[in-house]
Amino acid sequence: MISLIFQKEIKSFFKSPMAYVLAGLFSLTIGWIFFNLLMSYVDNIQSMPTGVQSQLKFVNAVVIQLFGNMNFLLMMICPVITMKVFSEEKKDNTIDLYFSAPMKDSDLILGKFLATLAIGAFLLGCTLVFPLIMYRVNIHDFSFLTFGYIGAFLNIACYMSVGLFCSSLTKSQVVASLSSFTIIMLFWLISWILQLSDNYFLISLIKQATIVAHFESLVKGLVGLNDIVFYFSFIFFFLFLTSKVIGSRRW
Amino acid sequence: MEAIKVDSVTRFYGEHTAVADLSFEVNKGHIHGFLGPNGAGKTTTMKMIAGLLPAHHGNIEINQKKLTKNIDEIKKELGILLENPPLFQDMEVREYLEFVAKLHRVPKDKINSSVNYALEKLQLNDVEKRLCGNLSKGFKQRVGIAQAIVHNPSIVILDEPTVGLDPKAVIEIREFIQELKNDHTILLSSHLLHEVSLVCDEVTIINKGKLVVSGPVEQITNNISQQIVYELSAKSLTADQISKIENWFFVDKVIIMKEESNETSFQIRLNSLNDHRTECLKNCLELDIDILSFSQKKISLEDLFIQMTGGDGK
Repeated sequence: MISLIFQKEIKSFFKSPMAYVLAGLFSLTIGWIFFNLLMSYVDNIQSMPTGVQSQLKFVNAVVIQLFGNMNFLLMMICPVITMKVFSEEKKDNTIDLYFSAPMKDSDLILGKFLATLAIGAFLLGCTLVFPLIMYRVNIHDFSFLTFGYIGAFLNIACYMSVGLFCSSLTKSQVVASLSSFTIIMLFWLISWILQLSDNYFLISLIKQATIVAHFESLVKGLVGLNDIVFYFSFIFFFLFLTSKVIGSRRW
Repeated sequence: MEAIKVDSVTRFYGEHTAVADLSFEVNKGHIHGFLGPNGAGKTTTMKMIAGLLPAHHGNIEINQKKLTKNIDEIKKELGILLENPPLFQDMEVREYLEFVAKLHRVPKDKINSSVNYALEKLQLNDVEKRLCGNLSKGFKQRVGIAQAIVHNPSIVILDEPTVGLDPKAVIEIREFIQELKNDHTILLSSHLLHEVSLVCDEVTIINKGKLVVSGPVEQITNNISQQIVYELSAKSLTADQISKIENWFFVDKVIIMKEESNETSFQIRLNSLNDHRTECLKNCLELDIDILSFSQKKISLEDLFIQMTGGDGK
């Protein structure tokens, strides 16, 4: 049943012009950012004396910046992908098709979640030309890039789970996308509080609650158990809330 | 043998009681009309029967199985079309029906034949390659019925399937429903008495979530046609005059049918089978009621429904 829902969602997404508009916009913006980062790195490295050149790490100048920007773009794109997942079905009453069929709510939610993940992976796939370009300019260490992609994918999973939850709450796609964007932004903005406090305990605590902190660890290749636990707890929590909202019809 | 048994079912929406202590049975192989004015609780009851909403009190049995205990098994035996057909606008008709068949766990080797059966029954072969979103309202409704029967359920629940259709499409849908009778038990809701009397063998009438009457159409018609009403029109009728008429020993109640500036039509419903015509007229004159017309008739199912719905049942 999960694969049936998954296939239906994927087909539906790629039938709509939205898929190509989003993929185009995302590729264009991130490509432009990558080009600029690469150009400024090349300019900097050429203008420096030979001894100092090695201090300017490619990872810091390009990879980390690139994935930081990519994360920000995904924060805006993911709510647009998830906004119709449940809202549209509620508005068109097609959600009753699933409820009247002999299937579990968890199959429905997982099928839809995996489909949005696959769409997210497709967007990431649009940027796979970057490693090829790097290879062409003699950068052969892809370890940071691999971690970056894993981090971006996990971020997508978090944003999609929030999006699914918000979409399950309302019939309005606009409300669904705005509310999921707000929640995602809140998790991002929490990191700003860190700069306002000098309480070490508070900072460490809040840091663990932000997606950005865990993402940064991943991109830098410093993967800890706490990062993995955070990502999976976050995704599970919002999928659990979604299942509660979907199951509330039985109240 | 009953296909659906609703036993003292109650459902609340917050403080509001949508369905109150409702009981009725739908017999196998029949078209059962479920009649009531808008907001009577028809859709809520149908959703409860389909397992889409839980009942707060009471039991529902489908084919002698308790709904709450065998929900997945029972869902395979039910096909449902709620008021708006649940169509994916971007799917072709055949693709959509295949998807619904898979949702209902129709075995892979039977999906094609099931979809063909539904397409054929609803005469949808010509539009099977068209997108659901591009179909006319009548065709959308047909696809809606097709999705309800594609997994060959023993019971089909149709919630006001002819609402908003043009007269030609209404007749077509009615014909399709009558054809389905041979293979399925059908629970058909409507707020149109005329429609129910045309296609149904049994009827349940509800109002404000409560049962008014339930049983075979013929039996109900026979029972109520024993009752007698006097239909009168007068120049005017005051509230005081109405309460006085209702105090006459042979009168059950007075129902105002139509009120205009210079003429009021009303029914006097009797509580006995005796002839009280002379008495009635004499008493009216005593009350200074200017009678314009007077006739006696036996009460019909339509009268009962009009009384119940406040006149919008025609």
